[in-house]
Amino acid sequence: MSIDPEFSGPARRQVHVADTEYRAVAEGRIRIRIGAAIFAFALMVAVIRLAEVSLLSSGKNTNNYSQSAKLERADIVDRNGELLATTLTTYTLYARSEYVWNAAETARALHELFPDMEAQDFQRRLTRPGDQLLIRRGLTPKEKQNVFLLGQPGLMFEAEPQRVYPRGHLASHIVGFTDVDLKGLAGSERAFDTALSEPNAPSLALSVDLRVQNAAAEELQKSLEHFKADTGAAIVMDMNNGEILAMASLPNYDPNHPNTTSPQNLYNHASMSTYELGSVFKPITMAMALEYGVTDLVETFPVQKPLKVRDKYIRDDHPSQHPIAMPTILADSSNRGTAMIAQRVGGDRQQMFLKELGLMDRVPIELTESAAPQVQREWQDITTVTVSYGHGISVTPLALTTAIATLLNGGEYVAPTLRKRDTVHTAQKRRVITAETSQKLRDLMRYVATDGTGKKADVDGYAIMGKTGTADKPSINGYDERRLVSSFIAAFPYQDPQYVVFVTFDEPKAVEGTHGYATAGWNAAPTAGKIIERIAPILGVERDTGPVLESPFSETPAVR
Amino acid sequence: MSVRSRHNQSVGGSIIFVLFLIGAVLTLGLYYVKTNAQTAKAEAAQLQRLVSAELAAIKVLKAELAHLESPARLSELSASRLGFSSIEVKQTLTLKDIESVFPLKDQPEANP
Repeated sequence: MSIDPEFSGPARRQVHVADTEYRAVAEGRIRIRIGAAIFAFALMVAVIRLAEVSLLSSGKNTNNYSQSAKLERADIVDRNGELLATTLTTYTLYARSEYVWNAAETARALHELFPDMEAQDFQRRLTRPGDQLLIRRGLTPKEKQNVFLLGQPGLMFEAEPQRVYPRGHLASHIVGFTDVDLKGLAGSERAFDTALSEPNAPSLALSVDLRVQNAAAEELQKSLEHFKADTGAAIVMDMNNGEILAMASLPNYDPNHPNTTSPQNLYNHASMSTYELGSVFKPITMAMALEYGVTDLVETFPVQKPLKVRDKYIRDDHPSQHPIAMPTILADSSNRGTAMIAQRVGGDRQQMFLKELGLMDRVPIELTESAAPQVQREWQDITTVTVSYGHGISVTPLALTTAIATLLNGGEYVAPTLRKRDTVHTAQKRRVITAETSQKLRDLMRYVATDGTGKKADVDGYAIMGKTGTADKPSINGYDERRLVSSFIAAFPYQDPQYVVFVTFDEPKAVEGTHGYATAGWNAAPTAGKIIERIAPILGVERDTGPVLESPFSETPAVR
Repeated sequence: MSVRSRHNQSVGGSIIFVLFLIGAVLTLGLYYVKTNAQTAKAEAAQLQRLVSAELAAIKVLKAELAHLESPARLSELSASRLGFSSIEVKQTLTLKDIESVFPLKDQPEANP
């Protein structure tokens, strides 16, 4: 302590006292404040970070389930919910060469699991340079487990979705297939690709009935082999709403292995092949004549006389010796009679009528595999005549099935569909002919099945209607009589038509029991009959065990 | 510096400290809740993955079942093992025809 010398008190001295404790305390306070400030700053940083984490964190990387959901694709089922296509998780087997201890031993072990691949192939793959060597794709969970149990190091798995078609060949052309990225390439897979690819999309219900499809495909296959035809197609359609219940095309393929299939097998003959279908066109000519009122059911036509149009004689396979009316013209499949009726209708009205029936355009079905018809550029009088009995115009079996369905369902055109009808996907109808004309067509086609060329198609108790069609195939020098396309269009039951069935064979051969014929009455007609015999009970069509239902044109009622 | 201003400064500092404390507690609370939520979310994701695995297994079973009950396979099996073939029209009968095809047998007369 020091005393100030200028102290004016009694002692008048000033003493300077150096407060060393005060300075120490002051310095200590400064340090405390700095420390507090640092602490506060650190605490503030921590709190701000906490606040940022708590308030602004989006919670990423907590759920990677959505990543796998992107690879989903909706199932395809038939109209009854039977599975046609689904997506399963399969595994791709990879190898990392640096971790493989013994490539030869690993290759041998893999060969034992997958005998279809040689051990040398496995070894070659295992010893290639690279980080991730593809060994094999499409392993099932069981195969994956078996590989896992080998205990060989260096083998890895990667999950990937794969489209699986558990029904194999059945309905292959309808269902189609996808590529490895699950993008639809053919059939319904392609037609409904957008709907199937949507996240969490529900199963897609097709109009197809798997049981009907199987029956149609089996009978078609049997007949194709029996008659040694090159290809064949069969269609079953609900004529009142356009639903395709079955559409078989032979040869077919396994959509699980589309890459190993011949391109010819991928071809859907029912909707892509255009044929000059022959006499199955005649009901259309009759319908237009009745609709335009150019003739009636009783007027006779002189088919016994030669008919010449532009230096071309129109000939009949079963020539009549006397004039015949429309029912007999159709039942005996008279080209001359049909040509005479078409001449009365005229080319313009004929084209208009064919367009109304959708025969001049591509069938508006969902499938991209739907071919446009081949129509002559100039519609001459000879065109009117030949088209009346199914030559000079090439259409797909599906197009003709749709047209005949229009004639028999009461007269309304309904576009065919592969999608099951419901309250959203309703049938859009457009009237083409009157119900009265439609009834006449039913009577005429029933007459063909009971008294005409379609007798072999008639099924006891189901009263079918039908029409045969045998056409020579076009060749370089006109038509080749040895190469035929035979077809049969049928509908049932006569008293309340519900379903239309179409069968066609490309180049069927005469076989034992057909007396040298390869015409539709001997092959396509009985095949259609067998299909109807099998599918009618499935479709709930009650069998009529009463007297045979005859057309009004039948002269002598048949006795069961 | 007066006693009043020194007092006001002290009160202001206390308020800021209390507010800071409340903010810190709230933030910590929120962090705790958020952490719990994320844990729950992770558990939900785990459960979702299990459900997905189960659904995938069900899909495999459904596909196997569809393959096993394919009409062509059943037809082949029933033909080879049981000798069955496709039904024909003549083998079918409507309900109304049962009585005519299989008439009721006469009732035996009762013994006197």
